[in-house]
Amino acid sequence: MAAEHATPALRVTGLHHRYGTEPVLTDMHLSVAAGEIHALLGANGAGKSTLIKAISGVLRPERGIIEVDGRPCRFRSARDARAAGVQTVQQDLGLVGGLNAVDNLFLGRPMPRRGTLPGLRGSPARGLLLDRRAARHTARAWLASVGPEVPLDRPVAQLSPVQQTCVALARAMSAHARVLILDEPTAALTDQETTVLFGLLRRLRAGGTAIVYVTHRLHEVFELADRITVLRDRRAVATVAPAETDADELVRLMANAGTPRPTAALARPAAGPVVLNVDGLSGNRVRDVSITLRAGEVVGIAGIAGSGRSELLRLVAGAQRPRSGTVRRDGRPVRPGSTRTALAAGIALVPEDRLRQAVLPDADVTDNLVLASLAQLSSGGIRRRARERAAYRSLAEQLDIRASSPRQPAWQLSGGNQQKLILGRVLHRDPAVLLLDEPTRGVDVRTKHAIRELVARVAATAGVIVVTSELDELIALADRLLVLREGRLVAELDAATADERSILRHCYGGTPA
Amino acid sequence: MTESLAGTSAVDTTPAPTAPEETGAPRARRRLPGTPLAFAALVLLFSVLRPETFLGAGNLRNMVEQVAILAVVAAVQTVVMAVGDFDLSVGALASFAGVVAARLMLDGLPAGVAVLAAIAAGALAGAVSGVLVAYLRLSAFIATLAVLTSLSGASLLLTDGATLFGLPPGFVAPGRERIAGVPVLVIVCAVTVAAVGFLLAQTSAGSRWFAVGGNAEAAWYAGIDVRLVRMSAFVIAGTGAGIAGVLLTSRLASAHPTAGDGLMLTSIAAVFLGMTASPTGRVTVAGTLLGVAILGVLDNGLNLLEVNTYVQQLLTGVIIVCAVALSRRGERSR
Repeated sequence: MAAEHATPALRVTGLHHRYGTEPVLTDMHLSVAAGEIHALLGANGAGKSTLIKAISGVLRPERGIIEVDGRPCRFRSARDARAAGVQTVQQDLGLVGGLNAVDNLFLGRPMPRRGTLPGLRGSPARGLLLDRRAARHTARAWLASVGPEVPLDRPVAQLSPVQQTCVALARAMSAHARVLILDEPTAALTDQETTVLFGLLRRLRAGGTAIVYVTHRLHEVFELADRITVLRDRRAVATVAPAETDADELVRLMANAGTPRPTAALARPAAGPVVLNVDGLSGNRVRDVSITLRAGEVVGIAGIAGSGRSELLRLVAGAQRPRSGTVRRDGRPVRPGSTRTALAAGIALVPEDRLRQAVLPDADVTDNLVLASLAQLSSGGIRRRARERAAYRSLAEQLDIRASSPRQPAWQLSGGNQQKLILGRVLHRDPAVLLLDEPTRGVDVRTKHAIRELVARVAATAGVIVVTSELDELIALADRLLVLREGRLVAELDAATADERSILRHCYGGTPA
Repeated sequence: MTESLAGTSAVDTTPAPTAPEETGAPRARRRLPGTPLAFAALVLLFSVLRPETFLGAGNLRNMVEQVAILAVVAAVQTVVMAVGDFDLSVGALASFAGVVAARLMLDGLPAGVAVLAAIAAGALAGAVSGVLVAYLRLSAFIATLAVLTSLSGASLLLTDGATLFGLPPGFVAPGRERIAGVPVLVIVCAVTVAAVGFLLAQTSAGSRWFAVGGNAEAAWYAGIDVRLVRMSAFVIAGTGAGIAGVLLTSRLASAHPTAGDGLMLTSIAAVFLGMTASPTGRVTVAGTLLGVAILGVLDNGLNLLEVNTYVQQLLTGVIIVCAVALSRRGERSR
């Protein structure tokens, strides 16, 4: 199907890029033929999204060549990439929910016009009015080239997910896509809708479009792709045809082989009393999860992006309301859906998105630190500055928070120091259950180590649940591992014997049916 | 007095030309001290143009009396703006509270009861705005605009559109009497403003207001009941506007259904002006007071210069925009 000898529609050679000093792409290669569906696979942080950003012009790589139809391209913006025929459909589709399909299709490009003023006939100023009828006609034709009927008059927010995907695809295709990049297009679709989408993609393939298909779902790869490129550690490690491989091999390719296990797991009292029971918890993206957590243990939760890891922590911490199920602390049920109640019961969460969910950027470091302990540090509702200062000094020393003064605004701190500040905020409440969502994301290596040691220290007395996309970190930190797939707990592994391959096999669901 | 003020202003203005370059430096987030400069410049200008009258004791006292009630409304508006919202209903609410107090007194209730009822009505109206914004998730604009409209209607209903006269002398006294030369009304305003300032700066409630305004999601994750905190700010605003309305009625010795309406825009303007005085753009009651002072000086000075009131209004708008725009230049873009 893919004509190997012909010029590929998209060729990426020797792509390098760094964020600061952190390499994010290392000698990346990719070649996609016209009329080929090419799947991109890789664990979290393997470099998929960075590669896509480079191809779609969002990011300018430091080195390397991107060719479209054999022509080297140097994209300075997403606009450049689109002009060169590289169209990207992001996971969120990039539609304006309040506008209908026609307006979405004409977003950012001129709509047909009609009407003139007397005397302006034939001049460039003609066409004062939008020609909605012509626009509808064109929109219908574009949509028809993609597939099924889509209502043109309703706001796209009211359309079904697959209809929305159609609008996004039609928009991409109408701009003469040579290369179509799809980032997890099935994340929001049902199985039936996925089948419809696959039909559309096969039609586009037959029309000669090169399709780069990013997914986390192995069975889709086998069903749809002509070739598969596996990314690991920011580079392409293999390109294979589905017929020549199986799920186990793909997982093996994605996993780092034999990670040296850092034996930093500090000596801890093996199993303390049970501090947390989660029973049959269901909610947004989470289905029927039960966990028993003891003081003195670290439970790691593994799962690919979208598997419901963060949502699970948020449900337990009261930041989201569960549909069903209970959370009990020391045997007593915790009223759901209130962070205040959860915190008072000793359940503290360090959320995933530091800047959006944790830091008060304009407030100073002391105000940031005491945010969860305002009632404890004040008397009669009046703030006691001396107590706040003392709390800051003691935690800043314990956690090595480097601020120029207790009054420095938090936005000026490095990511690592901000993260330690947020850790300090919840640790000041002395939680019995500490939930950590990506605690070392975007922090420097030194802080990473400091945070890992801190987790081990906290776990001496408390129960800790960690979510992290870094598998080596997960293995190093946790005593036992729970694997979430599509919202369900599918496996429990002993961290002492688990390796990346076994974890990933459970994350991806192993051999497909 | 005039000499020394002129001296400080001159010192203050000299660094101004270099400031824009400073703020252009990477990561620099310092703002021009636009508000203090504007204040100093105005004082200087008016004291030069009207050296006899402007800084005279009588005129100063006059100015303080004129802005005292505005200061109360602006202080509580500061609280609402600390949580990241604004309250358009404060002016109509002040009118309404004044009308309620007057109506009850004319109906024979003791002044104390009427005053407490009027302030409670203000708190209740604030709670309505708070519920609409915090719990029913209406935008503050829509919610407080609706409350404004309803309250205006209620005031007109209670007065038949007329002014209520003949209030008891005990009620009118604070607007007239003085303690050690300071009008009682001004003292009441000062105490109220100080209380709001204390709430905002020195209590855990104040910290929660700022936390919700700074990053509501982070506040929620830190165990703060964001909705309750947001609503409480509106209750404070309603209470403060109620107090202001009662004071206004006392001072005017009458209640008019639109007497306080102008307080809404000027209170928001005062908070904005005050915000620009702080290096981080954080609202503070002290900053707001500076904003109030600027508006008061401007109003008084233009009056002394016998500038046409229509022109005064026009100039006030221009000056507010200039001060705020100038101070925004150094802001970090996010």
